[in-house]
Amino acid sequence: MTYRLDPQLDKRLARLVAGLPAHGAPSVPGREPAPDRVPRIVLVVVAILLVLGAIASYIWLINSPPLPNGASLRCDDIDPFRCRGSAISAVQWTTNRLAAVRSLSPARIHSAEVWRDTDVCRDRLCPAAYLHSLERTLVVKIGYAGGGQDWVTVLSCDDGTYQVGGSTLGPVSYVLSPPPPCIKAP
Amino acid sequence: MERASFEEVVAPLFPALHQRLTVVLRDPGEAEDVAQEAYLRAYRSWDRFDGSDARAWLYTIGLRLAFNELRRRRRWVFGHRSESDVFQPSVDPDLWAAIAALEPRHRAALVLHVVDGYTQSEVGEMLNVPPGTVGSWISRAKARLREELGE
Repeated sequence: MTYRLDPQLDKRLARLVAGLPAHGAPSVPGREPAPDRVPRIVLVVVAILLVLGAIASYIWLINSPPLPNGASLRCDDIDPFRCRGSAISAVQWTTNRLAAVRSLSPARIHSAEVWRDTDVCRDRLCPAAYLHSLERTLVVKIGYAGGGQDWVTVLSCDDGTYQVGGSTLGPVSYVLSPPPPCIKAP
Repeated sequence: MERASFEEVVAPLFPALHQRLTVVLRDPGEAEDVAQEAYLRAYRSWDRFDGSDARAWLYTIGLRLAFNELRRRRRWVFGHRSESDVFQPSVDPDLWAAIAALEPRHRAALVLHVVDGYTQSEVGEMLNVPPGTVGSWISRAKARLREELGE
C-alpha cells in the first residue's frame, strides 16, 4: 500500500529534501593491511604450555624432597654471631637450609617471613600437642620467586640450635601435625 | 565479476544520506557528523555487505545512528536552543516547519516512502519496525502535515 500526500505535496517534500545542504563523502582511510593477528592455534598452544608449566611447578613443589624432620643445624653453621635467639636469624637459617635441601638458588626464594604460632592457629583448630610447643616454635613462610610457598616449622631448642620441624604446602596441613620435639645435637 | 569498490558504490549516496539525516535531526551540522560516522561504519563492514541495496543499507546505518543521537540528546541536553540556532532551509520553510512537528521516526518513514519510494515493508526493515507500524506512522504524518499546512 502506498501513502501519497498528494502529488503537489509530494513534489514539495522532494524539492525540500533535495534543497537541503548536502556535503560530499569524506575520504575513507587508505586501504590498510589487515592488522597482524596472532593465529588462534598459537594462542591455544601458548595457553596449553602455560597450564602445563603451572602443573609442572605444582608437582615439583609437592614432590621436592621435604625438609627432614628433626634435622638439626647449629647456628654457627650459618653465622654464629647473628643466629642465636633471634627470629630474624631463624628466618635466615630456614631460608638457607631450605635452599640447601632443595638445591635451590637463593634467588629462587624471594621472601621469608616469621609467623608466630598464634597467627597460624588463630582461626584454625590446632592440636593440643602443637599448642604445648608454642613458645619455642616459629613458623616461617617461604615465598618462591614465580609463585608457590612453603610453611616451615622451626624449633628453637634450648641448646641454641634451630631445627626444622617439617614443611608443608600450607598452614592447614601444617597445624594438623605438631612439630617433633627437639633432638639433642650430637 | 569483481566486486565494486566501496567508494564507487557508497560515496555517491553520501549527499542523499546527509539530507535525510538533516530531516531527522533538523540540524545539517549534526546530520553531517552522523552521516560521516555512518559512512565510516559502512566502510568498516563493507566486507559483510550482501551487495543487494547499498542505499538502503547505508540509510539503515545512518538512521540508527541518528536515533541513537536523538536519545542521547534527550538524555543530556537540558536547555533550549535559541531561535537563531535553529536551521532554516532556503526552500519551503513552511513545509520544513510542518515536518518539524512530526516525530523523528515519522519524518524518516515519510521521506523514505514518499521521496525515496521504498515500500512500507522496506521502510520497516530499515527502521526495525513492522510494516503495519510504518503504515500507521505515515498516515499520522500525512494528517499532521495537512493540519499544519492548513490544507
